[in-house]
Amino acid sequence: MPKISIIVPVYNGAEFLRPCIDSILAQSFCDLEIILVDDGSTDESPVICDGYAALDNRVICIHQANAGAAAARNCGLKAATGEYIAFVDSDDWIDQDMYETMVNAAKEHNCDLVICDCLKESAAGSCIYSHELPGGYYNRDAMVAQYFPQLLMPDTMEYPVTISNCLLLIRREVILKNCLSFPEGMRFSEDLLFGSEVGYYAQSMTYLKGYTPYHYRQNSASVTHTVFKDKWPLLLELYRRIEKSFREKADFNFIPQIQRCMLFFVYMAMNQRLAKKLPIKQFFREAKDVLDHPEVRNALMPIRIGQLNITWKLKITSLIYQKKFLQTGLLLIWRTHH
Amino acid sequence: MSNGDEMEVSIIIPVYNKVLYLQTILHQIQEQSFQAFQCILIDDGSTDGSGQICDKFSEQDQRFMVIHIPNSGVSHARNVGLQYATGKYITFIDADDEIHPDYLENLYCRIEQSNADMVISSSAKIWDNSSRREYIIAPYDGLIDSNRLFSEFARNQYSSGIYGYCWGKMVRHELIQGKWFDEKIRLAEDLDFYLSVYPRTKTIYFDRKPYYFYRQDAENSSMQSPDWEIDYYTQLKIQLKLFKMLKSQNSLNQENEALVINRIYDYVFFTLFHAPNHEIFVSFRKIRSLTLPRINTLKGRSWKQKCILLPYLSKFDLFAYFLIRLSRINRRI
Repeated sequence: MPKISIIVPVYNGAEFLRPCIDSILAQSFCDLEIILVDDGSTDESPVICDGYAALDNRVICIHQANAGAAAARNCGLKAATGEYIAFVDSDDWIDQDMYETMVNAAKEHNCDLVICDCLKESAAGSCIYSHELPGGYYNRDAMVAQYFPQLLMPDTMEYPVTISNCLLLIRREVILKNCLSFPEGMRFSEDLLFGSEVGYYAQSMTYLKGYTPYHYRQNSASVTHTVFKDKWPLLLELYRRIEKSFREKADFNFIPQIQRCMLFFVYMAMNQRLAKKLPIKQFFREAKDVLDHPEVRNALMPIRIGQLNITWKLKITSLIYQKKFLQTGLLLIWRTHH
Repeated sequence: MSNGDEMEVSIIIPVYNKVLYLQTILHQIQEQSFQAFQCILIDDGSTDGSGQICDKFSEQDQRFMVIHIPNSGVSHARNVGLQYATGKYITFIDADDEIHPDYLENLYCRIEQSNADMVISSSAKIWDNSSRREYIIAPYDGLIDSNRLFSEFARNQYSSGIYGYCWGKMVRHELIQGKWFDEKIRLAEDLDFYLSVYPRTKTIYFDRKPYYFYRQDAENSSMQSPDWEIDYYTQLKIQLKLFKMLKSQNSLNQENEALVINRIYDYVFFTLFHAPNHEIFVSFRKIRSLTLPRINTLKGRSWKQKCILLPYLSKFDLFAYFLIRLSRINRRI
């Protein structure tokens, strides 16, 4: 049984695939298996995957008909045998010492979960992506006290710590015991729910704040970056799953955070509508589709916008979405985007 | 490597009232896997018995050397240490920090093998009584040409501060010959020092092992000084020095220029905003005498900054004065 199973969902990213797999094979920590899940790619990436599988016996290659990133990751999870699970996206690359450092951190306190930071790489250069949470080891009590208040959605309305599943080293037992999987059919933000559930069920964790071995490639058309027609039905579906999963947890009240998730999804849906540059009447109609939805109303009404840790501009926008001054407000927002 | 006559590395440690942590770091230095060092302890007029601990170590171990001086600030203490240093390489360590057993060996091997002018190590921030740890990882891995360093200097410096920390670096002795810490500066004196060292380097080795542990909550740490006690005018001058250094290295590309000018005008704002009432007009004149680079836009700044910077930059001093007074009406200064 290898120590780590690294799952790489592959979909049409042949250009960046080799540097990605090479960087995993070059790890200073050798006791690993690499599971390449080819999600019905239409370019030469399946051939590249098979090539690596023939070259190195630590590489396993699985081909499936195109079913989305979530399904590909679930397929990888089923095939995994390691003590720990990690994910790498097929267009990113990692430093040589990444898993050595993370396994050492896991061993030190016998942790269920290790989290690191990443560098966002673009043509303009690299930039550290980190979170508000202090670094270091957390036992269950410390997690409940310090981490759970921002598990799903921090009050800064930024992505939660576990948003990128690629920065996590997860004990496989946590996934097996609690039957965790990615929500299939979701082609978007599928890691939000999975990451949060892992964060919730882990009994202890270590956050290696400032350690950035993962290089996240921006501005490329990968599985996760492709723009889809309208995200709103998917966001609503994701919200329902989050609500179902986190509504009744015994040791922490996640309801305010579930509501903030909805506000966050409303931002995303509305931004998408604004970006379309529709004429005012059509924009009003589409905005109302989102804002008049009963689930949205129920989730947004109890949020105390004033207490969120966000800029005043976003606060005003949020109040408008809460339908406090809907007509005039929407007009205002629409005007600023034209 | 045995304890020979010729010292390879000089370690300089200024000590001022760090009795809680001093034993730990001195033991860690004694037990390093690399042994050919000279450790210069400068007791900067400690009153808590730190001086005696230093004396004890220097009696037991001939590689440790203590100089007692009356209290005169960390910059002076480091300058005294530099005068006594005889090693081929120089490194600074702070008395309240900790190091990995292989820290010195790692730095020494890197600088010897790569023939670099300087090694910059990664580090981890640590806290008392807590396993909390945050990493400051070097932006590169391996040997880097100094042109490359300068081309991305501002971004890396502002995101982690890695180029400014006094510790976590090993420098060739001849490189800092004739360079001294400015004893008038109380904060970021180390950045000021290294800014005059970087232009002399040709290559720098970056190491990604976080073997230096930087303690965050030590007593009389400089980070706890409240806002209005920081001398923003001096910080402004240091940023201006950074700007001039990048300009002289022909590395004032778009990104560097934008970032540094942005930071410079942050400090212009802070200098004005935190100036005592009777010194506001003096600050206006002091800043005007500096010949700052021009700023093109105030976009992206908070309304508070805009309200004060705009009238000041348009030379409506009286108006700016009243806005400054107005903006801090409920602050105690």
